[in-house]
Amino acid sequence: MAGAGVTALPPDVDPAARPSLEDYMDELARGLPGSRRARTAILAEVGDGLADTVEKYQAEGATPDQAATAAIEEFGSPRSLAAHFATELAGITAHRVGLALVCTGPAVGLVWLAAFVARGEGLGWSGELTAMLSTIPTYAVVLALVVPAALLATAGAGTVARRLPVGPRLAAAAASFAAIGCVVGDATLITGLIISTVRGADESWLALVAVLVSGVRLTLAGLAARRCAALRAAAA
Amino acid sequence: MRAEVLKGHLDGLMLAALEDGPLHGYAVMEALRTNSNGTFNLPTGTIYPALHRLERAGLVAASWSTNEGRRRRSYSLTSAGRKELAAQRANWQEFSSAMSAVLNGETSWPAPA
Repeated sequence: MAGAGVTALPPDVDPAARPSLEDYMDELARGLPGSRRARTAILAEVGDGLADTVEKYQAEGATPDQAATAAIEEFGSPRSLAAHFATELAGITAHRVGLALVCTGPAVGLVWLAAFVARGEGLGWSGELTAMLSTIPTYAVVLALVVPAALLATAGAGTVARRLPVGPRLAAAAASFAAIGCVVGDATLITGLIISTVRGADESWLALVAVLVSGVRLTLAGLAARRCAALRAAAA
Repeated sequence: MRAEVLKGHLDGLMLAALEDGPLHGYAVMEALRTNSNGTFNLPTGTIYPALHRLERAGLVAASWSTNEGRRRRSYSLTSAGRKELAAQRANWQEFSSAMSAVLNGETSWPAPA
């Protein structure tokens, strides 16, 4: 992200004040984790605030260089500021990951259940669900751990955060855990299907859909787990 | 006044600063400074993460605007933020009345004969 802070300063900042402000913004940019969009937004906001602060000191009679120094001192250490922003990003990201897992979980589960029913021998939905969970007991354990973790992750932001103030770091940890659990769960299901296919089971097209759906979720969950872990590590 | 003294009250102060309409981060800081006659002179760097915390909690909403080529992020109270502000005001009234009573030696019952 070196140099990314340069573009975040407003164009009307005094050229004499720009060098020290650019250094500050570059160091802030280096310490900010999260998505490119989130980092860009934070840098634009801080750049605007720095410009306002410089103008204030210049209006009080400071030279551009003095004003820039005073503004930077007022904003504090860029590393510390980045860590505080990382805390907020961790909470928001955890909330989104938790919501996504809670919403997609039942849908993915239904696709797999449909695949089992299509292959099954007329046991019906509840019978196939029981058979599926007993055939892959690991998945039942994963579900029992992942679902509460995903729900806890939603407490990273919004109304849930006000009612259950677990804090953004714990929410991000829960989101990471839930996402990793989804990766394990999806990998378990896909592996089980591959093994049964190799053994000669006649799989329907629904099985292929289930593999695709789980494959996509597995990939996205893995990326989400990595992002949440990085944000939690960078948080104040 | 030092920032650590305000810990725990900063959220209420920022919500109050936003009560009359949207403000961007620097304007929130200036409003706190002006309305407190210079008593609350917070480091600018503390205001932005604090505003993001309020946004994360759903108490304020943010929007971008462009003014004379400068992108500016402004914050406004949500309905949850207005409720929270009212609750913080009520809590503060109760707290400050109790503190005054104790610190100033006031009694709320008749002194014994």
